Amino acid sequence: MTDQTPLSSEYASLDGRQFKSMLLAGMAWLEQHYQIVNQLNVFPVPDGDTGINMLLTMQSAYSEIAELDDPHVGNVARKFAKGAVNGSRGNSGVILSQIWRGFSVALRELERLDTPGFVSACETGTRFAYDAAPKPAREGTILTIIREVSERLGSEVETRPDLRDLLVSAVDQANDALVRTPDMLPILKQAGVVDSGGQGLTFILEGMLRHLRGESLEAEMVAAAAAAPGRKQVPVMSAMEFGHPYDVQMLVTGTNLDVEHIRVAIEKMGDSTIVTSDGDTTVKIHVHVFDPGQPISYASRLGVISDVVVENMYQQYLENIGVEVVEAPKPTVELLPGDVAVVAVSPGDGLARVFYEQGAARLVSGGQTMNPSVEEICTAINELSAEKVIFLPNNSNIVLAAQQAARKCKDKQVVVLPSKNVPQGVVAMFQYANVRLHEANRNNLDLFVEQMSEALEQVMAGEVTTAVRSVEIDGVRAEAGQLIGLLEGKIVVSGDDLAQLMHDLIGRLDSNAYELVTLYYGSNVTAAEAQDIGDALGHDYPYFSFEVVAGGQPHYHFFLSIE
Amino acid sequence: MTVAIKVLADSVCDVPRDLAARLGIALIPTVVTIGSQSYLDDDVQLTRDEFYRRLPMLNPLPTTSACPLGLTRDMVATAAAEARHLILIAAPARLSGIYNNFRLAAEEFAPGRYTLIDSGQLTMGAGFLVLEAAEAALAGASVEEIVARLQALQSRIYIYAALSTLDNLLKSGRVGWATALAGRILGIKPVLSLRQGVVESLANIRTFRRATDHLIDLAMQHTPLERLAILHTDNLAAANELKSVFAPVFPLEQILVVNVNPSLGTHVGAKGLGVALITRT
Repeated sequence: MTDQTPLSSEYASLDGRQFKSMLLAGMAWLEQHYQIVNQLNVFPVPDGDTGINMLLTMQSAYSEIAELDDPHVGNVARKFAKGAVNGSRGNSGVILSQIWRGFSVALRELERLDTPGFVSACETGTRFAYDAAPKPAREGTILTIIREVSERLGSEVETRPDLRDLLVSAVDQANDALVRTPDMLPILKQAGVVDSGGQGLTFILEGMLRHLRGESLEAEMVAAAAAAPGRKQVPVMSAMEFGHPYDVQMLVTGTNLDVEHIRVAIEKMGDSTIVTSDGDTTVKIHVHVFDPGQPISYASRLGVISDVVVENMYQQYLENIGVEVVEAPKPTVELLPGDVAVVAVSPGDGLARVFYEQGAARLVSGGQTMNPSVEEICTAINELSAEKVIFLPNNSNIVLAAQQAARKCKDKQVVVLPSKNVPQGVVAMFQYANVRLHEANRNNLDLFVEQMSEALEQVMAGEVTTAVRSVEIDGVRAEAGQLIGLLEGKIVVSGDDLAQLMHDLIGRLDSNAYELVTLYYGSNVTAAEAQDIGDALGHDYPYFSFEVVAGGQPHYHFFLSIE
Repeated sequence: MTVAIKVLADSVCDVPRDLAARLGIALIPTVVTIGSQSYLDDDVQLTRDEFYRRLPMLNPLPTTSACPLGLTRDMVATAAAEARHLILIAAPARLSGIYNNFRLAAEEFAPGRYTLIDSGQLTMGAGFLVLEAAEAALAGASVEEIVARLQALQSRIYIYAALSTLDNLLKSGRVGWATALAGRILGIKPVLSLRQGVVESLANIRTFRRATDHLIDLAMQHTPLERLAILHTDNLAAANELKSVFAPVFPLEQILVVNVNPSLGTHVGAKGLGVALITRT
């Protein structure tokens, strides 16, 4: 990746290739610093990692232009924006993608990027970002950064005909606004951090400026090229993270086989589709799917099938890394045509079983630390045959991406129910199952939405995790590495001993208001440990019932559902 | 002493003993077997308090069986000698053998002068029919009038229950859909209805408090009410609390609070709550 095109000495304007290089530089600089952005979470929990979300959004954007060699800036911007929107994750990623959408609209007709073009792109980007953000727009966030940058550039465009000079002002203003974000959002001030999304955007602008200054990006580009998220050292993938487990291959022999037609049909069933033909009598099919029966029965209707090979890739993966194979969670609901289906985000295999048990038709892997992209959400929704879909993000940082995805799924009626956490998602699923008990209601989208929305308020959520940095909030002090317990997103206890911390956390609950505490234990807690803690709590707090359930979520020792 | 009409019922109808005595109702006891010991469900051999004290510790669960044919024959024979016509009200034939035993005994001792009715209900859902029949008989109504009255009432009787556990229902095996809920990851408090002998699942709810709220919503949709009973399985405090909820819609002094008979209690488990009602609409 050394397609850096030398700039003219004047920096009056960039062509499409130079624009592409500048975008790559922005991404690369963010890649160098995304962990700093991650650490700016208001709460020191491994939650909604803004840095990785913004980086993944940038990578998805860049992947659309990586192979592109087009001198037309408008074309580059359009493709870049498309990739950004499809791959956007988390609230900051979605807003960032809207900034790039604004760029693409403003730059659509431009052959070359000049200073008025850049200013207009920032202005349009600002407008798109504000439109996409939750209302009322919160100042002291990425929104403020892009707005102030665009205002500053608007006032200087007459006097600065040089793009490099303009970007100097942009970075200057971004940094200036960034240090003021704690004054605009008290919660930032309390946590002693600047806004994470704003910081991410500032890094991107800085990277773009560095490129115009000719500062070396070689190292950064190598880093960016290697930055595909899948290459990171990750723990064992859950079945959901893995995706389609079955590799299906077969030959179909028949007459008048229409390869294109078959390809379209097979593509709808899964991914990694390869459909090839050697003439018009034999077609070779390869696809990765959840249900191997689907392509096989489809193909058997076309002609005679042979050489059928079905392999469980997930099982092979687990065997390769030496993990005991357990049956992957799978849906239990049987949907009839017209039924309302639920797609939900689940951060672990145990929770996947819980969601499937209550009737989720499809799950998207993700949650606190890995927010699914708009495209992943779209795909999950589109892969369902159901026309009416309710989506449960189960994390406040996924709501916006889900809403974007809902808008993109134009062929379906998709309603995003803004569940902020897993416990809310589970109680909503209980209502879903209850509405489904009455067959006449199974296609009544409005009724599902009404009943499930009401349920969201019926549960209090708690979390136990490790503080990723030292913090003092609301009088609770925690050192980095200590355990912290949160109720409704607020830190209420900290400590070093998990059982003691759980005891303290439950002690905060009003015994008159609640009766049942479900403890979903994470992948960093063993079943025996979790059961011991549940038993001890049952002994200490006899007026609550405790249910201990395998959640399998990463980083969080426990999710608590308090009802 | 000969009376025109005598009402007989099984103990599953849960008409309180004092009320039954006052209205001349004969309650034929069913049988509960705990381990190797069988008890008549007559509030003497096995009191409800004692039964529910033991129930949580019992594994396997007690077994339940219909009114023994011998005892049923004796009691029907006695009634047949006292009255010109018998009205027998039995638990649903599809859930119990009581109905058949009643038929055999009545056919033997009161051929041609008995009326056997499948209540389609349990506990006070059936109890309301028994009370109506006995009150009407005392007031001098004819058999035809009483039967017509009961038939008219049957479609207006509703029973709703919130169970604190699914275990007993699962183990009892008498409710088909419950078996589908076996092996669940998350526990549930089922809310049920009983209509015309069919037990239906209305909702599966995580907490008993919300299940109780749902129960109240279900009952309130039937106001105005003609009769109302609060049912519980060893959960008197909650039953009294539930009773007070109905103060705005029904005279408190007319609400019966019933600790459900052990036969039914075995199948639904302790600490449950329920409502039996007759709607006016």
